[in-house]
Amino acid sequence: MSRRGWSVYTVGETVRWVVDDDRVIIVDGAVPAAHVLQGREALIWRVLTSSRDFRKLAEFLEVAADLTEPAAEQELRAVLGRWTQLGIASCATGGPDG
Amino acid sequence: MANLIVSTVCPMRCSFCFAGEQRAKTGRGSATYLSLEEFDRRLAFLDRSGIGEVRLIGGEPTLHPRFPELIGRARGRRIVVFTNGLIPERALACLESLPESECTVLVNMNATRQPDGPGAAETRHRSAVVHRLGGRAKLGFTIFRVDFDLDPLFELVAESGAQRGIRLGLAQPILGGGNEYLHPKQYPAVGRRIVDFAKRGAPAGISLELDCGFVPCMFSDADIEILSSAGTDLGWRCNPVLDVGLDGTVSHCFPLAGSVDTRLTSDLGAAELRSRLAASTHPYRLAGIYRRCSRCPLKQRGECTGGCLAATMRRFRHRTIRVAVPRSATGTRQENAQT
Repeated sequence: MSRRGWSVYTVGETVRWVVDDDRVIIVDGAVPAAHVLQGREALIWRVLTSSRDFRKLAEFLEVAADLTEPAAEQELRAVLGRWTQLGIASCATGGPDG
Repeated sequence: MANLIVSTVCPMRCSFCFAGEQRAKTGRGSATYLSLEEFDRRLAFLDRSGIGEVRLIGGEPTLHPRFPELIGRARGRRIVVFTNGLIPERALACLESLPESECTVLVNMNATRQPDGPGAAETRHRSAVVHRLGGRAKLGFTIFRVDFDLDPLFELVAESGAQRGIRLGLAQPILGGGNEYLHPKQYPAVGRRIVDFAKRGAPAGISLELDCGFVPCMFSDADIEILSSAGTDLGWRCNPVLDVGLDGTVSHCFPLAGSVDTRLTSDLGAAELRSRLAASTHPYRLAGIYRRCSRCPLKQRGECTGGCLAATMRRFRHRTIRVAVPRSATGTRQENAQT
C-alpha cells in the first residue's frame, strides 16, 4: 500500500471533555462553547482518547458498527472533519509521498 | 448578593477550607486587610447593584483591626458576618450593639485549628460567643464527612436563643485541589443523615437550611417530603456568589477562585459581573456532578443546576490527542495482503 501524504488532527489545548452516561460533553474553553457527542461519534471520541492509531480506530469501528473497512475509514474521516469544523480539533496537512 | 472579603487572615486550619486562594495571598506582599477607602468603594458597588445587604467574609472578618469602623460604615443596610466564632472582644461588643433585626452573624461551628476537629477550648469560646450574640447568631455547619453530628448545635440553639435555622453546607472541592471535600458518591449517605436530624430538630422548632451544591437525588422522594414538612429550606442551587477580594478580583465562588474570576470596576453592578462569570462557565453546566446529570429531567427543566460547578468542572479531562490520517490510501487491507 502506498500513502500520498497525511493529515494530522490535533485536539485543541483548550478543549476539555467529560464522559457521561450516554454522551460526551466537550468544552472549548477558548470560545467558550460546548459540544455534545452522542451515539457513534461519542464512541469514536472515547476510543480516540485511548488509541490514536487511525488503522486501529478504523478496525474498531468496523467491528463496533458492523461496517466495511472503506466505510469505517470514510466515517472516521468525516467525523474528524466535522470536529475540525466545530473547532474541537485542528488539521495540519503535509508529509511526503512514501 | 455579594460577599466582601475584608481580611485574608484566619488562624483556623479547617481541612475543608476552600478559601485557599485568598489565604495564599496573605503575607506575599499583598494586603491582608481591606482599607476603609476600598470598603467605601465596595459599599458603592452594593448600592449601584441594588443590594441592601453587606456580607463580610474572610479569612476571619472580625480580625480586621478596624472592624467596628467597617460596621459603622455599613449601618443602614442589613449586615451579615461569616465567622469562625472565635471573635475578639472589641468586634464582639460591636456586633452586640447592633439590633438583631439588622444583623446576622453566621458562626461556622466546625471551624478549628485542630486536625481532629474543634477542641474543648474552641468549643467553649464559640459557645460563649453565640450566647452573647443571641438572636443575631445563626449556626452553620460544613459537612465534609458522612458521620457528622448536629446534636450539639441543636442544644446550643435551644440554650442561647440563636436563630432557629441551622445552615448546612457541603464541603466542596477547590478546582485546583488542596482541601478535604465531600465526594458526590457520599451524598446519599449524607442525605439520609440530614433527614434524621431534620426530624429531630423539628419538634424543637429548629430547621435546617441547605446552602449551595445540594442535589435532589441525594434524597428519596419520601425524604424530600419529610424535609419539607420539617421546615427545611430546600434549594438545588449553584450560582455565581460574587466573592469580592481585597484586590478587586471578583470570583464566581471560593472553590473557583483563581479559575473563574472577573474584576470589580467603578461602573458595573453585580448583575453584570454575575452575567460575565456565568457566561464563562455556561458550557460546563451541560454536565453535573454525576454521569447521569446531563440526561436528568430535573436538570433539563432547570430545577437543579447539577450540583457544585467546581465539582462538575473537576470531572472534565484534557489530554493532547493527535491522530495521523492517511489522506488517501490505495487498497484495502485484504487487497494489500494479496499483493
